[in-house]
Amino acid sequence: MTLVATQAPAREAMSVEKKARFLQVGLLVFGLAFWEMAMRTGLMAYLVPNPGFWFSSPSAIATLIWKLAVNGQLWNHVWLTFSATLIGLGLGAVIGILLGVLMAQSTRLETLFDPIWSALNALPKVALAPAFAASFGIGIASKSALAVAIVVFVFLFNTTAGLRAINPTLICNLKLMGASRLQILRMAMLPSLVRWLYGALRISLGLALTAVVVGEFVAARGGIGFIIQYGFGMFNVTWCYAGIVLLGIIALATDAAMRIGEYYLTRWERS
Amino acid sequence: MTNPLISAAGITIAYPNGLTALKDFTLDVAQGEFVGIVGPSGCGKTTFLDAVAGLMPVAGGRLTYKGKPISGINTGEVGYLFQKDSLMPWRTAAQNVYAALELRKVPQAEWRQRAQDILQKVGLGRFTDKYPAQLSGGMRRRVQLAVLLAFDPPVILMDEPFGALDAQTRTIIEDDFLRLWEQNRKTVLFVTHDLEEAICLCDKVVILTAHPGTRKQVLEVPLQRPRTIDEAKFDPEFPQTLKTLSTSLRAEVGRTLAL
Repeated sequence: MTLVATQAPAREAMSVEKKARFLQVGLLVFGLAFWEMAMRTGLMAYLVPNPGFWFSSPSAIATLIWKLAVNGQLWNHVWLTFSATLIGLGLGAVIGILLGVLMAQSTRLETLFDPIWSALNALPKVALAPAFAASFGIGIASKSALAVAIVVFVFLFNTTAGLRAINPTLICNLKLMGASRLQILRMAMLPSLVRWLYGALRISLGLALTAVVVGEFVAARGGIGFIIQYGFGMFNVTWCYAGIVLLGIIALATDAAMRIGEYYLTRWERS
Repeated sequence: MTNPLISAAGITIAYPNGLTALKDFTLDVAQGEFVGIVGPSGCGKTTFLDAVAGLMPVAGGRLTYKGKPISGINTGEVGYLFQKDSLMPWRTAAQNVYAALELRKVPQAEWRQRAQDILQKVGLGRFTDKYPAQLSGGMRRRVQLAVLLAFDPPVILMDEPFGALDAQTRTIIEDDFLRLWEQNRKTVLFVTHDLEEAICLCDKVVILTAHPGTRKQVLEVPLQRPRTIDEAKFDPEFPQTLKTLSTSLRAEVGRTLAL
């Protein structure tokens, strides 16, 4: 009985999801086809002279990416951006979580630092890009540092909020059973933070990628931001769009990897 | 009483907001006694349990455990079945029991078997690997009972532990608890609003006055042990005991409403 009752809607939901996927791919293909046709048929030429210069085209973008992939330059650029983003995310997460756990240890500490974190968080950190390039050089250190400066606050705030949301009865019970601070941290605090930290991680991914690209705009020898900036400098928008496509692929792939991790770590939430 | 396990002598407890919860409350609990605490809402029943657990400081009077004043959390000595859920939702039933075993320093190699045995005892043998979200309210209570059994404290504090369950589930879990209790007769302080439940389970029932709570009466329950819930309810002594208890409590509830 229950088996039938639980399986039927699941199958239905999957088919809805499948339909949505088809529609999504269809829309994408339609959009790209429209763009390509508009450029090829000269439709755009009625509106602006030399439309390829202003708008490029899907085929030109794909050709450029293919060319860069074949001559090997692509991997270097993607790797620079990807690694700087991951390092920024990782360091920012570790520092943010540590600060959050520290702040949760005493109300006094939290009251003291709260306005400081709020002020720093409100500051537009990308404005630091030139200063960071000056202090940390034009390698990935300055890009990662910029990402850290942004995402650290996301993790800090989510950690504090997550620790506040822990069921106090559970903590009381562990204390009564003689759990030490470290045991409470391991048994109750960190596991209940998982959901909050995944929220922070997914928000931070986009922010970290933005920080790295801005950092590469300002000063770099490579990376996807560099490709975009190079295209702009050479009056060749195809390079700019190629960079954006690559960023999209990186963001989608990383987000998908995160979702898989989240699915396995929060199995207990599903009944 | 000679050498009570828990002794409250004229204790006063204030909430953090300054309001008095309990006033001049006196009660001795002997080792192995099953004591019910009833009283109108807000009379400080839960506060008394919190004080015994050391979660709430005593403002006046003397509250002792094994002759020593309770100051700070009464670690390792009391198990508390809270009114609210105290399970770790990210751990399965068995893993929740593991926590108690780990804190009792049981070797890790024995966890699986011990948890399996204990969950079997509370009737959850087939649900060891389910997460709390996959269990019903009654089953979650049973897991919490299993955690208590694994922790195995000398004193068990219970704050309306079965209040949220439906009548049938409740009778069954109460019977199971009585059966388990008979095996080693721990000291139990049992807060409830349900007078029938209090009579069925307890050796004596303390009635508290309306806010601020103080002791009004202590009623000995004249029923034999071991007993089941049904045996208690159909005992010829039951109606009179219930009537006495009910009359006494009704007067206090009336005073609460008059305020």
